[in-house]
Amino acid sequence: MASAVAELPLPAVLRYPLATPVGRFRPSAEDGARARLGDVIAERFEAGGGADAKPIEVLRAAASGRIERTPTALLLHPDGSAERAPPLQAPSLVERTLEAGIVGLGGAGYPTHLKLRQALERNAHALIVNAVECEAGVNADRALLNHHADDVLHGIHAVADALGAPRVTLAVSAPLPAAIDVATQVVDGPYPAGWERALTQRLLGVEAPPGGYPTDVGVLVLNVATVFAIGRAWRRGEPLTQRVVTVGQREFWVRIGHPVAELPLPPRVAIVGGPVTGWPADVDAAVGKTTRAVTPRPAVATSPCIRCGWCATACPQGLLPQELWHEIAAGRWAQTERLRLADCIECGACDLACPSQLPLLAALRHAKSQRMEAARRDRAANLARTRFEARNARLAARAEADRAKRANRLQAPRDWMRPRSADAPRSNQPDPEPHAP
Amino acid sequence: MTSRGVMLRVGVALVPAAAAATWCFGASVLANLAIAIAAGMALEAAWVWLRHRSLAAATDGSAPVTCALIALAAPPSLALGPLLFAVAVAVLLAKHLYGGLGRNVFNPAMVGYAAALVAYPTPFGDWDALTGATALDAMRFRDGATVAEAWGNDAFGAIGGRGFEIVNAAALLGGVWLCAMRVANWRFPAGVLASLGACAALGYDGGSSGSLGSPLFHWFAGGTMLAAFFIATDPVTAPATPAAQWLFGVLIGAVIFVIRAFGAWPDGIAFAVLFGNLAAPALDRLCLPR
Repeated sequence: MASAVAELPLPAVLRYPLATPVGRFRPSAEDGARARLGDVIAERFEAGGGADAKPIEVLRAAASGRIERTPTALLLHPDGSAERAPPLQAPSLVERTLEAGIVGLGGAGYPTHLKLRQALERNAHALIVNAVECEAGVNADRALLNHHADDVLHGIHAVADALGAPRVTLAVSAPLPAAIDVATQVVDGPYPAGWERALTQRLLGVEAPPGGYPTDVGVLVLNVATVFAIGRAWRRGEPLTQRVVTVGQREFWVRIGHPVAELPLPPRVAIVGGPVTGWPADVDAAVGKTTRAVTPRPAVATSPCIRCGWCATACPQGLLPQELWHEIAAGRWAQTERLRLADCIECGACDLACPSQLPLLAALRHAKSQRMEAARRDRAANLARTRFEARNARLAARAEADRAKRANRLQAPRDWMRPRSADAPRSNQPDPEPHAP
Repeated sequence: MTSRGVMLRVGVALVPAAAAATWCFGASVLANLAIAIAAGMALEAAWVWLRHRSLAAATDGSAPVTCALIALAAPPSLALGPLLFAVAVAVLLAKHLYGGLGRNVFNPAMVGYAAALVAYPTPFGDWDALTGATALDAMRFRDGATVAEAWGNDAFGAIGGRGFEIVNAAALLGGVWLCAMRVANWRFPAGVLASLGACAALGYDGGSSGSLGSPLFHWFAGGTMLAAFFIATDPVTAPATPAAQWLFGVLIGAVIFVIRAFGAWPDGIAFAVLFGNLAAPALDRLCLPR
């Protein structure tokens, strides 16, 4: 067994962006305040939640230090003290998972307590612990199993006890060096075998409904890092403040909030995520809860698409990336819809297959975000048009009513035209009530 | 594997066919191959240089493959002029005027071959110097003889054309390897051969004076295997959806048979493939799930 996973030294500042792909965090720590390791510094609420809504995710300080608030992020300046927040208290596993700030650490970032609650509501009968590495070169899951199997087991038992007695399967990409006290299955299929939908189908033979999740068919799939974090939170009352990250070629314990620029990597543009599915890092990017890997960006020479179709063979969704590539390049959005662009799961299998080294995944992601933005604009425009039309209709109806009123008035005999009786006062005022013809 | 690796493997898979053609038709096959490949690469490099593009666009390995296919499809006795004409049309017109690798609508080798065939009909039909009439011609113009009677003509070999059957067998060998390597998509040759065989079976009544040659004869005559494994498999000019890929192969096989049975060209592969290229986008449209 290799030596234990090393911990990266504390950086000068930890950085927590407030806007994340899953939603916006609301800082709960004041500017200049002091936070201890493990204190809640920001919370995320369900979109549209009111003022009294409960948070669905919390963010906890990965070191003690002084908080600085900027418009886009929380910064934590560590002071080197080892002071900690008190251990987690929540008595139920679901509450404890929320309290610890645990989300799907495999990459999805979905709050784990919500997933657990759904599994409990549906009486999930199976638990799959997913340690099938998402892509070649990322070994964070494997490192946890090699060096921290005990805490992974604690996590598995905690979840299994909460669910009753589910069938537990540990899915790994290669046989483990040491035996572990869980039914283990080697899933060595082609990438993306670790996709939870593919895993459920392969291990249990049940298929999640289209657009649904394995929880819908009573299967709870949790990434091994998530399970590890649950084990720590349940057994030791420790919140989620660090995770194993593959940095270049090695695995490290990295504090959440560690700036990407301060990782031990060659000074090149880094990719947050694995070599295939990762995103180019912003200058101020930081390791987040779902960051499995940070990879130096390889220099690649691309050549034109020869439509060999290997990407289509590799695509787990049966899409035609080569056709999408050409349609995206030509800006033919209607065609991309016909080619089911929205069904892309962004696994990057096409990138791996492409003999021309084309950035297919980047193109697909770009196109998807463009389409989502266009759809959002369409919805906004439709809403505005509906409002505008309703207003026009309202104004037209009012004008019509006024016109009708006026027409009636014109037809109605004016009182000055009536034969005047001697005592009636003379009036210029029109008759307030229209007369029936 | 890179795109260049793909082209390299296609080149390797062509070696058996080139060797068989040299053995059967003489060293002029090698000369044609060398001239065509050298001329094609030189033309491409010159074109890229004139357009101030990266030389990478001339070294992707697709031009040598194109030119090798032209040289193998043309008669070995072909004069330099028609050969260079075919190469120039293929590389400059069919490939680069369409935007270079991956953007051409028609198979460059077949555009070059067809243009030269139309421009120089006599030398392109001229396999006679080596083989006498080709087996395809002997089968087509046999003055009411039955197939068995006509087989006395020395244009025929054991199952196909004399010499051609060996070249076809060698091309089949390289082609199967190419499919096994997943470089070529097996659906294309399967479609071409199945459809050509089915059409031949329909037109073959056991060998009477009116029949048109058995499936076996058609598979091993002319450029069948070259077309099925090396030309129809060019993914750039073929459909992308599996169902359309089958239809594409079937269409090409049928057109090859129709031209061989009722046309006046020495073989039908060039026009059949171009016809398939023409239909490819429509086939994709037809087969894409709505």
